[in-house]
Amino acid sequence: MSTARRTGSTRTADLILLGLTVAFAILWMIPVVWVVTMSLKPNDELMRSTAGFIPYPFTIDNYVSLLKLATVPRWLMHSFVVAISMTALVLIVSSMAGYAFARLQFPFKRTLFLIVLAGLMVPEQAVFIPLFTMFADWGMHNTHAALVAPRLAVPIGVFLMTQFFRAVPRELEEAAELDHASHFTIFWRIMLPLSVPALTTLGLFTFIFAWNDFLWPLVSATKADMFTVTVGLASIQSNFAFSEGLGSVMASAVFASLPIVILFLIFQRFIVAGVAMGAGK
Amino acid sequence: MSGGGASGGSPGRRAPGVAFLFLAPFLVIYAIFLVYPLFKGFWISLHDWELAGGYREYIGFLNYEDLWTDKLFWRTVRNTLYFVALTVPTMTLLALLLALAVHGTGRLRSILRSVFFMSSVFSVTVVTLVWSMVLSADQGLLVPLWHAIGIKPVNFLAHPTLAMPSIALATLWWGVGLPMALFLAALGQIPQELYEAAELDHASRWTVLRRITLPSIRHTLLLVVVLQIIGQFQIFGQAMLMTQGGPANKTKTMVQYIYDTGFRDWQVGYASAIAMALFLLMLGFSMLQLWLGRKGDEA
Amino acid sequence: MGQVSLRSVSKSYGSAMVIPGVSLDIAEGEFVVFVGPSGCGKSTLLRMIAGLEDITGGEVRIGGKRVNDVAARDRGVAMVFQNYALYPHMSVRENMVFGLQNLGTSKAEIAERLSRAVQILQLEPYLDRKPRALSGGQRQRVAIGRAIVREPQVFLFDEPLSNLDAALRVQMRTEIAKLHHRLGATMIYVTHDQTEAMTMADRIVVLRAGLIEQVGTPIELYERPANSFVAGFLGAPKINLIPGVMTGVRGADAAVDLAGARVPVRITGGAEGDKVTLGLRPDVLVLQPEGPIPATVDVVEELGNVKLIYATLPGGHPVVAELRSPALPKVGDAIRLALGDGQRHVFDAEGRAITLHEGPRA
Repeated sequence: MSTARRTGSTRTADLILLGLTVAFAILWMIPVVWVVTMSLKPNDELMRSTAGFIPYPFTIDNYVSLLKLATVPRWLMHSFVVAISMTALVLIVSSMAGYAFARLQFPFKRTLFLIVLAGLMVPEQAVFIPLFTMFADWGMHNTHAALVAPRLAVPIGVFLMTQFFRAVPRELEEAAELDHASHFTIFWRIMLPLSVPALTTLGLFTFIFAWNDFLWPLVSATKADMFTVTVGLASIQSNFAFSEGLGSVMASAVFASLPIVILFLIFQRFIVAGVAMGAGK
Repeated sequence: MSGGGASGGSPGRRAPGVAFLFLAPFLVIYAIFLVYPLFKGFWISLHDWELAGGYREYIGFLNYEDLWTDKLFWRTVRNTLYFVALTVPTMTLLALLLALAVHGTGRLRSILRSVFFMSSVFSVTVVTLVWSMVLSADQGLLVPLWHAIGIKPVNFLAHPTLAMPSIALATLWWGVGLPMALFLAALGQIPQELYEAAELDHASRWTVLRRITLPSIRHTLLLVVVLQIIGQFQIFGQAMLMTQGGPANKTKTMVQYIYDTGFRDWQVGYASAIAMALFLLMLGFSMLQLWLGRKGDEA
Repeated sequence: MGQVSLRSVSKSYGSAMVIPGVSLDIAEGEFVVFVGPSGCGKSTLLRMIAGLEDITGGEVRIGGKRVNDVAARDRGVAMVFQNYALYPHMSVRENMVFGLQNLGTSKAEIAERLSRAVQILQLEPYLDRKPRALSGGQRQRVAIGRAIVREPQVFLFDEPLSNLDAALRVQMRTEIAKLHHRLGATMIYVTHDQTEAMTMADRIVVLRAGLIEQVGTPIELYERPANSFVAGFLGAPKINLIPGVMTGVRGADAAVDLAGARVPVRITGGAEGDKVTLGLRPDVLVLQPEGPIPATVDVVEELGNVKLIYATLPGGHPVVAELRSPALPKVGDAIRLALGDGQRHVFDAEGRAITLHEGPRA
């Protein structure tokens, strides 16, 4: 940027704009800060007033009792199992299919790819009832498998990986072919290491999606001890009794969001980069 | 010069067997958990099919005929369309403004990007919990403000006209991250030289935005709108958790109606018919958008 | 082991015929350069030899064995790509030994071959670097090194120097030539650069539109081009190809009318009044105050040892003359040119050479 040539008034305008954005960002974060504050206040204090952004009187009792309660840690555990296995499986399945679509030759390739792409247009609401009856027939509701399996059929991962692999220079593969590499070696030793950024982004989005998945777990995981943390929180919320007290509810929300927020803070640079990659074509 | 055409490839790469090994895991899952259920969903919608007790009877298109005269169904369609109309334009505009504001280098802008994206990583239950509290009439964030100016606190979520906009507000806060990231990605791909050339041409800031930036991200704009329409049509969690469809069904959405019919009243045949209607409606709207976008390209 | 033979090899993409048919024998240890303009099919031909491209018709033999249906990895060839195609996530060392690892070569053997290649190419300091930390020339060396450790029967080079700057290109050119001398392996080299072809090849294969125009040593092709295309493609600055009419045909003697001057030529055939093209290398034209050919100077290029004069003949046809005389005309000057020593090429209406060459074939 040639800021040196910019006039003074443009720079002032820039600063004002930035200032407004900062103010808006603060406003944006206020609800979160407020919820965290409440989670650090005693329940009886909250009965009196919920106002203020300073956790005083301060307590961590809400978190302690949360952990003693056993249900929330259990829900968290389910969320982790579901999110991690879904992420791993989506990465494996999508990268394999993406490689085949991008680089291998087989009959009906175009047709198959179009059929897979068409799946992007199908909302989960169009299939969750039949899925429910299927898993009911198999007697598989209230299992981790039921929460994970239907989500592996989402074609966006295949689409992203196909896009990514198509952009890998063909000569690399040809060089590997001349280097006596089999298809499996090419995939494992060349394509996968090259696609680490793409896999990271896809994995990140899948994990967030899995963690926050709502409608399907709501109908499939019906037993309270099989809830994921997202569904579990909904159950606390909808019987708005807040039997444990407002502070505890807020603590459980914070607690449930913590893993995903930490993950986001660590990997955030992959998000915009990944979006750029996916939207490239 | 170096092939790659229709009959391209080599003796080594012509290996359909290997290709299907790579494809098999996804295709099997896709067939079982997406293709088959889609058809089965349609099949179920042709039945009077009760979830409990196993009662099912083929009734042809009777469910669809019932839908046509179902006042509650049309109300949920109107509610959903209203919600889409509230959120899609505002979300797109807000995402674009935020992207323009936080696009660029520097630590501060990078932090701002994170702030606006971060609310997207929360689950719908956390988002609704936060906003139910914020908007609550007795414990809400705004209550001290109302007291200070001496108005009786408004119960947004129970208010017939304010409930839906309140849900839209929470949705905006929740969902602006992804479209903003899409816009940021698009902005990042505009060649810097264009801006330098414009500066040498004495273009004003407004002219640059209108004549260079916006035309360059036209395709992303279309993508964002289509994605938003698809996403917002599926509104469920926010409305269900914040208002339970109330007051007086004012915020009952199509998906909530599907859920209630199927999983509270056990009428999955009828629920499937509503689901198919939603699917067709969404398909129609995104096709229309894509068609309009293409027409815009040609013009 | 390393001989390659092509028998009526053809290639088509759907209905588009890219290579109608090429037959060629390459002896073991030969350095053969495929040269031609872009789109002439030279890279496709190379890739068909490598096994990276299907062969539509005909057959390819390597080391006497038909390889049409043999996968690239089993053909015993190594290839150096235009953009190097180094694996970006692997170090130089890993790049070079990847092929041997896939073959299951023993660790000791790999180490030995690696150290030999590293020594030849002086890659020692870079072994643990990633390709992105290398300069273009170093990457090119690694790409060649990767081919060397494989100890292939045949080396294939696909425009390997076109991504390098001019100075580096000259240097790598001599290095590859030295390498060929040292390894004695068969090498097939594709380029669009006639200088590379002229300087490196044992034999040059000139291709146009998927057909061989001529095969021969660089000197043969330069001195006795089979047609006007080959004459025009080899040699810099380009040969002057001037249309004219044949007159005074008497046996092998004839003349071509050039801007009013009669240029005596020796021909193998042709008749009075035939439309022909006269081919004169720029160094055949000399500046002579009393010369028979008038011209107007357009541009003068000083190259140090030689000077290039770009001029226009009275008929509007442009010519180039390469001069060594110290006195130079200026732009716009009317000059007179004469023909010095050197071959006067004659091509018939179809472009075929009808020049009669004195003495035995070179």
